[in-house]
Amino acid sequence: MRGAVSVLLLSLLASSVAGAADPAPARASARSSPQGDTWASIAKLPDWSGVWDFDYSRGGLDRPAPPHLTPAFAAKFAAYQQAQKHGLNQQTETANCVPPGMPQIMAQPYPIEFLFTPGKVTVAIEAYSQMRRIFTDGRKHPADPDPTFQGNSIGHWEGDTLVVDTVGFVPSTLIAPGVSHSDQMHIVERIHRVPNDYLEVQTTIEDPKVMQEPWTTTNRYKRHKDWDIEEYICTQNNRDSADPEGRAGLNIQR
Amino acid sequence: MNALLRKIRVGAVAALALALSATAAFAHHSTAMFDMQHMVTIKGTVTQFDWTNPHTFIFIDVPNAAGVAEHWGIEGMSPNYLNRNGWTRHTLKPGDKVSLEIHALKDGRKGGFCASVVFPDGKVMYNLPHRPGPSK
Repeated sequence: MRGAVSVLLLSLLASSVAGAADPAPARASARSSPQGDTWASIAKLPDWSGVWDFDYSRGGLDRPAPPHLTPAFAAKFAAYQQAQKHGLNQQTETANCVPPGMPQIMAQPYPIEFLFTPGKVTVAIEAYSQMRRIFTDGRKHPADPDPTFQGNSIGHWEGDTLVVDTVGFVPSTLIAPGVSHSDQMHIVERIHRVPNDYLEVQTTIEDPKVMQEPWTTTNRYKRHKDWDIEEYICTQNNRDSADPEGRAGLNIQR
Repeated sequence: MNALLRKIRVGAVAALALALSATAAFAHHSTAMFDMQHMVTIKGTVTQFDWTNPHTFIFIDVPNAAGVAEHWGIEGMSPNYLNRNGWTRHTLKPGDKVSLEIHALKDGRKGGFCASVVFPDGKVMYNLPHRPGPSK
């Protein structure tokens, strides 16, 4: 399917290059006036103003069943756990201020904020001062995206639900501590308001090399209209650096 | 699959479930280096208060039994978390005499993680959430 799409995109690109006078960008052809593509249509989107703080009151909405790992990754996870008994793997690279990237950047104990502009939803994330850009203008994923921490995200609205499709992650992002991902990780999020000022995010992670079936978790964020996203520069005064094997440390020199 | 393997597999799945539910509760780093099961009280004079990310830090001189000041370094929650819970960068300053409830470092060095600060007038400022809840 994706192959067919990229062939289509390529042929569109080729035709627009051939007809150099044609001012229409290739991706315009793929559009069907998506919701949120103009300032006027943004006014009809749901009100997600304010900032949203991850809700731990029930340990997330549901205690997720653990992912069903493939034998190779189950063995890796068991080895990871075994090493923890010897003081290794106490920390992940976030202790060294490396941002977690997707999917874990969406489950941090700091708030996030959604910004709607035509054709794009931007998520400002307080933890590690990160940003996600979700293109809602009808474009497809690039055929071969450069891997990034947040991945390449395209989205569309299904009524009041934002559906986000993300691919293309750097190797360092984790499904969970001890569970890395392959080049086939694919994440779909369905984000919508639920009663009592909560935003619900249902996240389905698919990675056939790592998990035997897609893994879905559901989390909630609580709205705080009187909060702002604040600065979080992790390297400002990080005294918790871990060594490459994840041994924990604390620098107490003043 | 023999019984031992099955046991290992079940154990790993339970551990993964735990790891997943615990993951979300901290950003940045785990509390592996601190004794989170026990709290100790140290009392002394603040010498420095770092209002910085990813963590605040309280440096405090604590007199030992012989009356000689020992230098302690105590990690705290981030300013982002604390300023939403009543703290400011002026909450502590050098010269303040306070008691700290801390989770001490397991390695025996004079450091730990701050749970709360008790001021001379009895006022308590919480650092870790004092209700049952996650740490950050």
